[in-house]
Amino acid sequence: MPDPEPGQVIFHAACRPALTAGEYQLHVHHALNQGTSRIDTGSKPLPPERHYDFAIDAPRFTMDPSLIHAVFPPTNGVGSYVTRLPMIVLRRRTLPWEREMTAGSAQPWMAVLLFEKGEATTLSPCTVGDVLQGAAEAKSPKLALGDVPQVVKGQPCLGIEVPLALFQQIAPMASEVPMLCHVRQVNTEDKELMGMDDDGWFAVVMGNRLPEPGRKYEACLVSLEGAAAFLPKPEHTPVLTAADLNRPKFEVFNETLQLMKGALVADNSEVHEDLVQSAIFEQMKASDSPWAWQAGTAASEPGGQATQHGVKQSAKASRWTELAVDQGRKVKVQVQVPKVRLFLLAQWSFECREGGDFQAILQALPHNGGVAMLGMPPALAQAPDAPTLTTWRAALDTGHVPLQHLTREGEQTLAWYRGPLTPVGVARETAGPYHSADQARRIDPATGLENLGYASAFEIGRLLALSDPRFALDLLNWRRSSRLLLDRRVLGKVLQAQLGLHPELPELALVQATVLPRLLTTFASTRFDGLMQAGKLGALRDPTGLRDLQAQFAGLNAEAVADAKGLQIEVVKSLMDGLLVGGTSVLEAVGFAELPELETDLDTLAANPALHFAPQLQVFDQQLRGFQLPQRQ
Amino acid sequence: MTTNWLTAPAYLKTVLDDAPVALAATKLPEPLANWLTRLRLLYGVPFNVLVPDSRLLPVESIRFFYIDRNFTDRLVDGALSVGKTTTREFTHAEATNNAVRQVADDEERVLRTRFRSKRGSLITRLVATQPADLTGLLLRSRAVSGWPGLEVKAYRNITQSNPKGTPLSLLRMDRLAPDVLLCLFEGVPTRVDIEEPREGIQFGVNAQDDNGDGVFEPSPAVPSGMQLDLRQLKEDQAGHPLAPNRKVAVPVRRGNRRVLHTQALHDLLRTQLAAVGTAATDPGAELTAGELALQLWQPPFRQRFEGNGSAGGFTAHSQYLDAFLKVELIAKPLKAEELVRLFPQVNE
Repeated sequence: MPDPEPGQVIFHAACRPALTAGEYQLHVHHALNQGTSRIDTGSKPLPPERHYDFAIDAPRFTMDPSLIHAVFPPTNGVGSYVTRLPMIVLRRRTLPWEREMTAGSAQPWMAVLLFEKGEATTLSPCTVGDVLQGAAEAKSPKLALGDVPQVVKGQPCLGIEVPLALFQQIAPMASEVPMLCHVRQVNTEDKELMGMDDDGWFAVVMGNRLPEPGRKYEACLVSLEGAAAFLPKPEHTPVLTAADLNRPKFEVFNETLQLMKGALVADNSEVHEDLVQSAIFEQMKASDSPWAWQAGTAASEPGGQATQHGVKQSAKASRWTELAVDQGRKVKVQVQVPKVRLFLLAQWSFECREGGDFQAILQALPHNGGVAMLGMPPALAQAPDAPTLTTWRAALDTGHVPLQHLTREGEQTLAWYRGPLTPVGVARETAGPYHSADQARRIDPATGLENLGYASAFEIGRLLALSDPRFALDLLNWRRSSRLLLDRRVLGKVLQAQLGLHPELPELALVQATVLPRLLTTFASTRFDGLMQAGKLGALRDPTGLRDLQAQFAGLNAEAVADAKGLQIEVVKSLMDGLLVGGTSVLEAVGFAELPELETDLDTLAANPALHFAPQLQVFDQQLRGFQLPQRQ
Repeated sequence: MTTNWLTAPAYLKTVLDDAPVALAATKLPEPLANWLTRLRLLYGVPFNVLVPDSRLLPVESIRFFYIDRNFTDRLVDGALSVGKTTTREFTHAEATNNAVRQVADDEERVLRTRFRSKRGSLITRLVATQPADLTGLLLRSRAVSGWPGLEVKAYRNITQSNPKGTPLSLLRMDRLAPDVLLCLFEGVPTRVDIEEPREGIQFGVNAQDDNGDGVFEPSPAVPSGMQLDLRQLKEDQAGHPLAPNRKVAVPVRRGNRRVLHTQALHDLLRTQLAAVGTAATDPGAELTAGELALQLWQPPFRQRFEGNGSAGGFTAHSQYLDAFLKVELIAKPLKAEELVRLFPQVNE
């Protein structure tokens, strides 16, 4: 058999092991024949016949969970599984056929039963013996497994107890069990379906019961070994026909009564059971329900659409109910519930949501709510009067909705509203930002109605922001730091612009006043590269204008300049070298460059530089030594 | 030095003349950028703000829409207006507005990718320089509550040579209510596929349920309200539905209408399949458990919605016709007359 290609799945009918589980004996027997006659080996006899006992083991009362590859619906899954059969995927492909339902039947020994929560009782604690001995209720059947050793009976296992009537309603018939087990082979590269160590072969056991919406379910993989005797028979499981859809109610009552018959117990054996039954039947008709006559039972047995004609047995025997039979005699009756106990090999639960067939739901969309662009169908909103009808419809078609609006003046009127979801593309405005919701109010000239969509957007955004303290804090922090950054940058630009207008000597009277712009531009230059280097702040670097002169007159002599201008030679030299003192920039030397980022704004700095930069200014003074400012004219 | 360089006009002029400055100063901290982006994608926005009138989104409906970017910009304006009281803050807001918008524009297109990828992994920004229109859909249906892993895919630029089209990135996909699904796409789709979650191979039946309310509708022909599409069993065609949509009514037990009558179903399928001649390689043979399973196999279903995605040319009557009107089903295409029936205003 070739491996399937990726994405391909091969369904096989069954995968039977060569031998089913059980105890076997291997006989080894030698014979030496010539033709048909036996050869006498005389003094050297052939080896004697030998018997080797061996057993083939397979899961029986419990199953290792590692044998489970997957289950569907997923464990604890919540979804609409209304049209899906539960199933379990087993790693060992032969597992369902490793035992037989009854010896020699070649029928699989396991089935998936689906119970609504509460229908089946899980036995806990439970031993193999507990399950084998059957339920305590009268008339409860037992599994036909004769050969279980005493040792095994004491072993713990999982078991469930189910009302017999329910079991016979939902369990597969003996002939159906093999139809619900098959083998699946998939490509081993298909990661979606495969575990890493799997060979691509799986046994699948399917359930036969569909879940109903809005209920919780337990899906159970149970052992049917020895259960053949009480599996439902074909005569008990008629197919639903069209005629059944409109069956008269009393037929249903009667049928229910027939099913109940074997389980009815009366406290007074003198009353004939026919009398009891007819009394019950009258009660059913009177209450219009096959259940309500029982004490403590709700008038409508929970069962919904699908089971209202069916028998739904609760897991417990009903309470004693007093009935009046003929001539005023009273009798108490009880519905007893024989139960079956089964070995539980695996169990998972899920919840079935309302909803049906995915395909049916989506295909019904156009019939139900429709498939369209989001917008108010024009027919649904009444226009106030004829003249504005066209405008009105246009507004509706573009996604606007008329809403009641109480204006600030107290006038009750209509206003347009359109949310963020529109049936037409809307061009994006570039204007902004809006500072208040009022800025975003619009009035429609044609209808005279206000459009409050954007204004409410503003308010919603604001409220959402306010409702999140973390965001508000983040916002304020960002605004502060962003503002500082912007301020510095803007100041740098302003200074450059202002000082750049006067390339000749700026009229600066104070050393501090000279220092501050330098200081600030240094900050700016360290943050925004290249302003100083590009020479854009040339005038700032040289209050004497010497640098400019130097550029115009190549080979300008520092000594001559010092002499002519009455400046100290070292000051002139340093200016011509770019304000270097001892090989380092004056500003760096005084430590401005290393100033940490200041947690204040520039207005404060500018107000009193001497206060903030006292040490630096002092050093600067020393560095400049006898530097003399040009005299004011 | 007497000029007040902080006056708004000077400040703004400088910032606006120099866009990189504003951008540099607008480096939004990640939590802040995330928050604003989420707001842009309408996270946290109350449902009645999105859909102001319940008639806009009736039960069991799907609605497509464009996102009004002005609305989302106003949301952001509103959020950023918190604590904005002085001229300085107003000026700052003016100065940073464009840059903030730019950040959110970029960010909203990668937010979902970021959510879904592992922490710290690098996100490649495969985004166009010019943000496209944002669009989306609202699906209000039992399909949303019943199928949690629903897949939604949107495409555009579907041509002869490119039949699959270009997939649009999904910016957001969230359930706003148990039965309401919101999806946002980048770009205007011309085709949207809604697919049943792929959870491996499943078995089941098709419900006869015209209104999609989850309650099967029995009829004399189909007393159980369940049907099965007959599938080919022949090797090369195996699994394909038999054309034209041959169905069988699924028999159930009278005692419990949710229990399949497997034996009867098996017999019915065997005769039906033999009748159409696909029975198997060996005609007289028994229908095996594997073949029965194949008949019960339910492949994931895909519902397709198509429209021309045109943005302009809006008139009062064309709206519901232009966009997303044609409903095409892969399994069962709607007929033209059915379409007309759905949209009565067509004939007005």
